[in-house]
Parts: sequence; structure tokens; C-alpha cells
Amino acid sequence: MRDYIDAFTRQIGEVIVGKAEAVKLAVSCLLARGHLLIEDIPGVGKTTLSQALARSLGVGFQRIQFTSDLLPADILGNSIFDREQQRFTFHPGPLFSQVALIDEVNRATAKTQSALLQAMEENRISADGITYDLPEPFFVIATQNPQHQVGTFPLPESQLDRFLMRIELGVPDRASERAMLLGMDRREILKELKPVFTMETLREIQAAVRKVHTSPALLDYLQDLLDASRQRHTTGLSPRAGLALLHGSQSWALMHGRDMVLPEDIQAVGIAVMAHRLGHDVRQPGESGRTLAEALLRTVPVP
Amino acid sequence: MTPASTSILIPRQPLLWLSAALLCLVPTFLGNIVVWAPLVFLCSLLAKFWMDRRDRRLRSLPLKVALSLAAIGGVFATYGSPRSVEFGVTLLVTLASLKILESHNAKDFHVLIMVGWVLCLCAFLLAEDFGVALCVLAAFVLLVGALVQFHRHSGPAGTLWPPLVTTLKLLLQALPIVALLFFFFPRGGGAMQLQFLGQPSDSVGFSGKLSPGSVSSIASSDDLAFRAEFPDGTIPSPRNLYWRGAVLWHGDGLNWDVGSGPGHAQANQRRSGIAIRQRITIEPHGGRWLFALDRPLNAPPGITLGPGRYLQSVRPISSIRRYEVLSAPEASESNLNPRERTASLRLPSALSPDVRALVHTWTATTPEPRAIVTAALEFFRTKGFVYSLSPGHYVGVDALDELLFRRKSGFCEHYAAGFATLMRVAGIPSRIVVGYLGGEFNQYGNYLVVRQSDAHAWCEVWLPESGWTRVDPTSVIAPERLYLGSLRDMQTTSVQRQPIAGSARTSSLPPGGVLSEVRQAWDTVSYAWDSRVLPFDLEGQREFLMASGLETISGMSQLLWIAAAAAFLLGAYTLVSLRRSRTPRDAVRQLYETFCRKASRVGATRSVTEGPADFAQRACALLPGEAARIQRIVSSYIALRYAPNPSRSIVQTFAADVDAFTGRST
Repeated sequence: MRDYIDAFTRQIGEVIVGKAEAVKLAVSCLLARGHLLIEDIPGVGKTTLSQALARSLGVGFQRIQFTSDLLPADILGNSIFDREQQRFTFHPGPLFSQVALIDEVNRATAKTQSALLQAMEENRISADGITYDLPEPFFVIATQNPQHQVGTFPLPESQLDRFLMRIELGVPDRASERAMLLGMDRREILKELKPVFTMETLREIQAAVRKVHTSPALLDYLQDLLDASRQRHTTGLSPRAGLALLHGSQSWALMHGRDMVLPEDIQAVGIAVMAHRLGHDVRQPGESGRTLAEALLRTVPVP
Repeated sequence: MTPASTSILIPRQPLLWLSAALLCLVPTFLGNIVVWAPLVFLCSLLAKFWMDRRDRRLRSLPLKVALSLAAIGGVFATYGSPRSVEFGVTLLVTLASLKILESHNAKDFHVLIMVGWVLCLCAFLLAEDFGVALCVLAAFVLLVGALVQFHRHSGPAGTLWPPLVTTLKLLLQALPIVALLFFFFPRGGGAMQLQFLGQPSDSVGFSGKLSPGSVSSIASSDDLAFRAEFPDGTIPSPRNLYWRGAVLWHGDGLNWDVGSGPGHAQANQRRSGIAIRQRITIEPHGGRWLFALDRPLNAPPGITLGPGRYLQSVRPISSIRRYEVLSAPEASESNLNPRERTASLRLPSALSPDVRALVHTWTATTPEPRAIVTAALEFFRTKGFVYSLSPGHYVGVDALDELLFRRKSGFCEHYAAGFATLMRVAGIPSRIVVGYLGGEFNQYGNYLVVRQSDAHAWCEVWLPESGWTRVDPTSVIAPERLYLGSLRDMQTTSVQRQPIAGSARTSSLPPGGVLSEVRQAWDTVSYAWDSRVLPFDLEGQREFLMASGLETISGMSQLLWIAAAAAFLLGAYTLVSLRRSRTPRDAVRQLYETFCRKASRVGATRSVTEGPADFAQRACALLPGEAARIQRIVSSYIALRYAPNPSRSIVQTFAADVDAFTGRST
């Protein structure tokens, strides 16, 4: 199982050069059955990473480019009148896939973003009063530009909370950039990517993630973090955030070949899991969520 | 009190506990203070729950003021003067009832808890028997429980055991301090100077005089008079259990009292036959009389012998008192001194010719006193006298005639008074002894319980050959009275019932008396409380200190010793609880901390937020010489602390590795 995971990570790493940490986080997020949000300035490989992930997973995927004039029906699907059968038939939208790649999710209006909510939390959508189940597994890998960019609608907290992790890529270092400049075109590489997992392997791995042992001492640490965040910040981390932290660290531990979670695992996924949920604190308006999450990890002692 | 406490409402669970505690206190007030006060208390508890359901409470200030004034006015109207304990307690109870209605937030709750504790104290001011002690103990425990419950309200609701366990733990911890204070805290001399309104002497039962007709309610009184132990093991037969209380010398018809008496008793008593030692624990009655078997030989310290050989306390008995006395049933005097003779022959102011004529029929036939006594007893036996607890009132100058010739109905006091008067008319010196007859033998505690319903009166006549001799006219009219003891039993059992021989009243208990067994067991515990705990006053404490060889310590140094011992106990508790708070983290954590301390000494300091694997990596880099051991230590630690099903055997190697770790290259 571990070989599969390693192979998967290696394959992504070949596409996204010099971003091993971000790639590992992205992989652990997917293995923990979580939705992933990739946030960074344009041109650092967000879309490339998301496509690499989707293609390597070995499941069907659809790409949706969010724009400000996108309507919910555009992603959920439309009911169109069928002249021959004399009735409306539902034509599923691009969200009906196992991996939905959503580019620039914060360019769409709140209305469309909220259409994503139900899909992300319940794995099903409602259109024209009928509820449709989405395929299993179902991932949303969304990319977004930083909020200060022109023409963006910040994602509401409720939606941010539904992303298990938010990762940033950042500008590659000099050596990596050189390798990229010299290497093949990324789009060519993407086309040649072969799926690493079968559906069964993916399910097995996802099941194994939930079975990674979490000792009472570790849960103490996790809860200490949650408590500390609730004491320091107005909203603090939600119970869902606690689950995200647990599943993310379990996945991280499994990726590193352990059958138990260590405090280090929590610390490793901590920023990615917590930062986007803490970024809206009215008490510390100037602080970014990342700084707050770092402060938490830096001050809450490991019991 | 934090400002938040006014905004926190009282959760239901602690309120229930508090109410239970207050309910426990109600029985201690019943019968001791005016009856409406506990009723108001109960009503306001009920009202509180009724209002709580509907989220209502007493808000209007004028209403509160009006209710308070009404309560205070009511208490004043009942007691008149505020200078009694009952007044104070009643006032407190009524105001506490109002507080219950008003209470709404955390502050009120705490006030109510305090009030509850004060009420516990008050209950002891009013009565201190074992039942009260149990009620107060229950109330106290529940109050502590309510407080614990209140401060745990963030926890899951509806939990019963955790707060109870905490409460019991707290109380258990307090126990040594309670014992310390009980045994060693310097006692004040005598009882507290408090004024009680209803002295127990007002209640039915024994009194220092005889005025028949006023005491028929004795029969129903089950109140305890005293308990007697027989340390030597000799218990007289029930027909000889005459408990001498007072000797009445001065009689006028059916009314007798102690009168001026012939002065103090002379020590000319011949001691003959066996002497019976009794250890008596008497309930407080506010008077000075004490009891001993007929007749006491000696007067214990603080007690004098009254004229006619009866015990009399120097100070009124306002708290439970214990004394030991020796009695000789067959003791008698050899001669009657002139003053006694005069006092015991003084005739009533008015005597009817009928009475004189009756006596004359006896004296005419024989001058022999013994024969006259026999004739008089024969008169009572054969002339249709009946024993009745409700003979009606005998009043006026011809009360004696009424009894002897017309109504012929009465109980011990009537017959004793009538007989004694007749003897005096016949020229035989006589006097009345009042006290108790019989008692209930408690087989668990091996002692005798004498109740107010055992009250009795009998005669003593002077016979030249045998001195003062006991004559009990009641015995010829109602022999059962002697065997069955209690007046109460007389009402319920038939007169034809065969006299039962045997020890005291045990055999007369109704068959299959589980209830009476329970009653006896309860009384045994109660007696232990009364005889061991309550009499432990200044005197008892001094004896205890003497016995434990600490008599030299006193006063100030005693207080200092107590403070030192208490401080030691508290210190020990603190230490234990500190250790306790660390140990649950188990040995593994402690060992790991030891390891971190050692590593820190050689330059590898773990930051508090550093996980074990990270730290191991860093420490190995810093201390390459010990890298292997550090790896071993940390992997054992991880296995023990984070892995599923850690095997305890790793602890040994882990401990050994930590022990061997020095941080220096070997």
C-alpha cells in the first residue's frame, strides 16, 4: 500500500518540481477523503498540480472554470425539454464526476459558490427539487487567487470550513525553476500521466487512513489545540476542523509508514488544516490565518 | 463573588440537591419550634419548584418587603419576646423560606447554602439527639453535594455519582480534622447561656409534685426519661424497678409536694443486702431531679441527697447528664428523727368525718401499724376501686372523699396520695415517692430504657421494726401495672392478663415484633450517641486528656497543638493531591520527562511544543555519541504512548535506557 502512495507522490513530484511538501499535503488531503483548496498567485502551477492529482488518481474528472457570470445550473446540470419523450430530462453538469477541478473558485459569485456547498458536504446535489447522488469517491480540488486580486469574491467561512486543507505553492526555488525551464512542457507531461491507483486501491487506502491509531495522549494534544484556538479567537476551530485535523494527520502518518499518529503529524498538517479556518478573526484583523495557526502550534505544549 | 455570578442561573440538579438538604432539616424543627414555620418552609420549597417550572420568581420589591414584614410580625406574634433561641431559629427558618422563593442566580444559591449550614447548627441548638444528628448529617452532606454539583454544571447534566463521590471524598478528608477538634478543642465550661422557652420540664412526665388529674397525657408520651446500665450485671426483677425521683412530705388531700421537708437526710442508713450499681444517662429536663433505684446510698459529685434519700442535682439539667450511683434495695433506717416524724405525720388542713371514721375502723381493731397497713390495702383491694387513666378531675376540699367513697377510680398518683393521707390519719408516718416504675430492657445494648410513660408514684410508711417501707397501693388495685410497667400498656392490654414473670418488659413485647426490634436497635445506637458523644463536655474532655496522658497541655498551647496538627494534615493532603495530579500521567511520562531533563543538561533542550520524533532527530544531531540510545528511548516512548496496544514489557527497557542515559559519549 505504501508503495502505491510513494509512487503516486513521486509521479506528482515529477510534474510539480521542488514542491515536495505541498505535494505530500495535497496527497494526504485526498487520501483522507478531503476537499483540497490550492491558493496562490497565478502562474505557479496550481492548475497543473490539480490536474496531475486528478489524472494520477485513476478516476474520472471534470474541469470547471469559475467566472463571475457562472450560474449554479452551469455546474449542477440543466433540465431540458425532450421533444420526443415529451418531458424534461436532467442533463448532469460537470460536477457529476469523481474529481471536480474548480479553477479560480473565488471568481464565481456567492450564488454559485453556495451550490458547491451541498455537493461538498453531502456528496449530492439538488436540482429542480430532485436530489441526485454524486459518484463515490467525490473530490473537489479548487484553486483560487489571493483575495486582494481584482474581481474576486471571498469564499464564505462555511465553505472554507468544508475544505480539509488549503495549501500554498509559492514561487519555486532557483534550481527547481531552472529544471522547469529546461524540462518538457508541463502540458505534455500531464497528457502522458498514467493513473497510479485503481478505484479499489484508493478505497483500501482511504479505509486504512481511518484505522491509523490515535492514542489518548495524542487526542489530548489535538483537543488542547482546539481549546486554545477557541480561547484565543472569536470563532476558534469548529468540531469539523478537529475531525479534519485528525483525518489529515492520520493520512500523513500512513504516508510516512506509521500505524499511529504522532504529535509531529498533527504539526505537519496543522497549518494546512487550520490556517484557512482562522483567517477571519475579528479580534486579530491584521493577522493572517497562517500566522495564527503557527502561533497555536508554537505555543500549545505537546502533552 | 464574581459579577458573572449574578447572571448564572441555578441549574435544576443543584437546586434538587439543595432542596433535599433543606427537606432533611425540616423534621429537626418539627416539635421544637412553632409548627407553622416548618410548614411555611415546606410550602415555599414546593412553590419554588412550581415557579421554576414556569420560569417565574419573586421579583416585586414591595411584595418581598411585605412578605418579610409579615414573617417577622408572625414570629413576634408567636413568641412575643426576641430573647429566646426558638425565636431566633423560627425567624431564620421563615426568612430562609422567603429566600428560597426569591433565589434565582448563583449568588442566591451560595447564600442559600450558607443559610442551610446555619440551619444545621440551629437544629443542634434545639435538640441534639441521634435522630437530629442523622438529619443534620444528611443535610450537611447534601449541601456540600449541591455546592459540588453547582460548580460542575458545565459537565454533563444528570450525573449523580461523580458529584456524590467528590462530596464523600471531601467529607472523608475532613473526618480527621473533625475528630481532632472533637477530642482536643478546648470546651467551654458548662452549656451555652441560651434561653429556651419551652423547657422540657413543661412536658408531660415526671414533675416535682403530685396533683392528680393533670397528668393523664403521660400515658401517651413515649418520650425518653433516662437509660440505665448495670455495670455489675445485676438487674433487679421488674417488680423491684422502683426509680426514686423525689420524696413528697407535704400533702393536702390529693395534692402533694416536696414542701419544706424535714431537712437533709441523715447518714444513719443501715446498709444491708446487695448493692446495685447503676450508670444512668438522663435526658435534659430543665429541673434538678435525678433518678436512682430505691434507694440510693451515695450522692455522686455535683449531686446532693434530698430529705428522704433522693438525688438532686446542684445545677439544673439542661443537657444530657451521666452519673453513676449505688443503690441498696433493702437498706433501711433504724430510727426516725423527730423532725421527720413531725413532717410525715402532718395532716391535711381539712379532713372529713367519713375519712376519720374509715381510719377508725382499722385503728380500733389493732394498734399494730403493719396490720393497719394491711387493712388499708385490703380496703383498696375489695371496695371496688378501679385503675383508670381518665378518672376525671378531683377538685375541692373533698377530693379525697370523692376518690375513696364515690368515684373510686384513678391511677397511681391518686391512690398513693389517698393511701398516704389515710396512713397519716391513722398515726403512721408516711410520705410519697415519685419516680418511675419498670423500664424496657434493650437486649442489644444491655440496658434499661425508662420512658415518661413509666412515671409512677408510691407510698412509704414508717414501721418501727423495718424503718421506711415501700407500700404501693396501685399494686393491689392493678397488679398488672407492676409487671407491665407502662401506663400505655395498661390501656391496651386486658386487665385479666396474667402477670408475667421474667426480666423487665422484654417478655411483654408483642410477638413477632420486628418493629420493636428495630426500635430497640435504633435506641441502642441512639444511646451510644447520648452516652458517648454528647456528654463529652469539659469534664469528659479533661478525663480523656488525663487518660491519654496529655493533661499537662491546656489552654493556649492546646489551641496551638490543634493548629499545628491541622496544618500538618492539610499539608499532607496538599502533597498527596499534588502527587496524585502528576501520577495519572503515569510512569511513562515521568520517565520521558526525566530523559528530557537529562538531555537538557547536556545541551539538547526539548521545546514544549516539540514532538518526540522531532526531538529525537534534533537530539541525535546534537549528541551523536548517544544517538543510538536516544533513538531507542524515543521509539520506546512512542510505542508506549502513541502506539496501539503498547506492551508493558517495553517499560522496563525504557526505564533502563532512561536510567543509563547520561548525554555524554561513552
